[in-house]
Amino acid sequence: MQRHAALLWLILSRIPALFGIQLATKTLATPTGKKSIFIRHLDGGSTNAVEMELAALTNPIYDLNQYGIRFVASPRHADVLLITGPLTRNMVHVAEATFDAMPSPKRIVTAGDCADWLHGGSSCLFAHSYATVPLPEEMRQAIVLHIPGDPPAPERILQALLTLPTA
Amino acid sequence: MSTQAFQEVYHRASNFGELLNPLEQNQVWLQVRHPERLLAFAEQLKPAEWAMVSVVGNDERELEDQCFKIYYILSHQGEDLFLTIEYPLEFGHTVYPSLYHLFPAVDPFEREMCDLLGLMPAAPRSSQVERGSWLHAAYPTDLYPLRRDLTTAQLVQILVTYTPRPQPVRSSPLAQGTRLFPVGPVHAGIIESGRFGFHIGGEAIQELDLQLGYKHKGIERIFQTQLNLHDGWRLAEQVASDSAVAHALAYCHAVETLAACEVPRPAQLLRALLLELERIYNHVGDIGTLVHDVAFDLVAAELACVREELVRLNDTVMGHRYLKGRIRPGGIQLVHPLNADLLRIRLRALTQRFGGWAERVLGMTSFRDRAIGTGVLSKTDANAVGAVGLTARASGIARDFRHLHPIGAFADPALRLRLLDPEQAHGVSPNAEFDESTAGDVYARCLTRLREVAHSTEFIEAVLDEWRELPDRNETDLTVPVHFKPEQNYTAALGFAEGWRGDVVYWVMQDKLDQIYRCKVRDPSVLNWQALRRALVPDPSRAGRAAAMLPDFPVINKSFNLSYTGNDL
Repeated sequence: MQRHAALLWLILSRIPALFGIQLATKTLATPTGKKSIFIRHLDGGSTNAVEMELAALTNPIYDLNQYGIRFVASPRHADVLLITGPLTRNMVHVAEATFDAMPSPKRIVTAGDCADWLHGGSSCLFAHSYATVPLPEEMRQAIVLHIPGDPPAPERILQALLTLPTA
Repeated sequence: MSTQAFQEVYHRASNFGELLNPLEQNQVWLQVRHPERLLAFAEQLKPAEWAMVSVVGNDERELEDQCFKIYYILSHQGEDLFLTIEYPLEFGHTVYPSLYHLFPAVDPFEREMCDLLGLMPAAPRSSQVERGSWLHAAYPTDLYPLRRDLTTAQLVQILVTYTPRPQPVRSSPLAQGTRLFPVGPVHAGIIESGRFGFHIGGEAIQELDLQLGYKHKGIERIFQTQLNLHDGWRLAEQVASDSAVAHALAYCHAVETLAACEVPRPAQLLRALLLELERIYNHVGDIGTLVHDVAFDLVAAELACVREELVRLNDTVMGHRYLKGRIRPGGIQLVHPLNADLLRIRLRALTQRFGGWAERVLGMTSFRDRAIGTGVLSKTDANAVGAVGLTARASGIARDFRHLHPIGAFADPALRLRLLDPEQAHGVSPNAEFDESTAGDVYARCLTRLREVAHSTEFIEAVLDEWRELPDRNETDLTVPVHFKPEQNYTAALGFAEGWRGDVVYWVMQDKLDQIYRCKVRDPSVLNWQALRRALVPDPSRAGRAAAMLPDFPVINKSFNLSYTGNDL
């Protein structure tokens, strides 16, 4: 009975696509309702503060893995690209290549005040430098969440990541 | 500082150029105008006595001398003495005589000046200095962002309309039988961006092409165009967040020298306390991540917890997990009065927990097998590249600005004593080799960190002992006003602090009243990246030394743990 239900879901869920209609694009929940997210981190030119807090998420105190969320080594394995820091001119093509390598559906999460492109530009000290650039438009449109802070504490990052499927 | 060393270099220098009056008492400032004289004077400086600390290129075409200038800043190895050699380039010229053959440590600075100012060393050195270390293919080749003839808006206008030409990443020629193994700029873990091009024969690393600069944010230009002397500390803290205190201190030191401002004793004590707190949480974190790279995940997990609790202690006591936002010119400003008792008790408990785990893992045969003899940076190589700080000390070079150029609370001998081992404290020369912590391998760098955490804890407790008696101990605003004088326009001052990686050195030139004309930031990583290269790639002249192997790269890199952003600015 359950197998029939799953098969029916598989068939029915593809019908809108045949008519060019996209359903709920921002949900990352799988058909079974799991919310494990594989995250690829990208340092666009940060001060290293947010990286320290991201690394802390894997310690036993926060233990990110218990939620099924984990950091992956390759963008080809990732659901989410987590960008930290302002984007430097030297890193633009690297950021684009990393995003291109991700399979669909793919989303971007930004963390730290310097990566605040979702709200139209950051207020950090590097915003008006010759060496930093706005995020490429295709990537900016893929942002689903921004986590503010200098740096945001690990618990705040964790809470934000846990809200992702409903963001 | 001994008067004899000062007099000696002062009189010798007087034969080569004009001696000017620096703001600092322990500095000799020589202006040399001719290439032959510069080289002749530099040849007289023995590398055993003088270390190249920083090289500042400056666009002074709008000032009195109407030319580019280079300032070589050297530190005496045994005395509290600095030497600045000011070399004005000829009017209209951008080529200068290189000191690379005498001081190889100038290498990263020459490449930096090539990219950002368009100043090139004269032949034959010119063939070794290529553009591209800081400014990659995204920048046109004739754009020099630290020159002052274009405004930032004009720079941005040029860059926005520039189509980067496709350019392969630079790689030195591959020897027969070797393969190129590129790693980065995006790395497997949560780490900063940078590219390593390994030439490997099997697993042995034959050569390393180090390509950094991916994180270049144009910090030095932001200093001189968007901030003034009062506010610059905010940007200094952001150069490298894990060294926020060291950078803020170095910046404030330079600025306070310009303003001839005396920081009160309570602020000096707390500044030193923050510097040591920063050292402790970084060392604890480093050993934790390092043992993870050799598969001791249990210890890594324990140490990650200790590190987290240390950082939370920072937050409780100082209002920020990474101690940002407190240190500024004139002193230090707290969010609430210092809870000295809490700090003392928690710190002692946490560092004891750390010490227990760290000593256990350092005693394990399997860890020693991975770490001893791995990634050896010899004393010769360390001296050659001008390695500083932790890296230098672990290779047997006693370089520590807290002892060599003591300022603030470190000028107090009783406090400084707490930073030494008992043998060192009793007059044994710090240059004497005494144990495994100076072997230059991964193990030595771990052992050095372990010992420094213990020393820093002692130091902090001594500071808190003195703090207990102070009448100001419940104050939160421990700053004095800072006033800049017009007579110091276009004068420069040196500021420094011994960060956990090594000495952070700032050179700040005052513009009209309280503006910044030039702020040269020198993070210790700039020099120590070259040291990492030497640890990985065997020097062909030293036959018989085994090559490092690629699987050891993560643990070697972690044992240095250098700053990418501190290098790239």
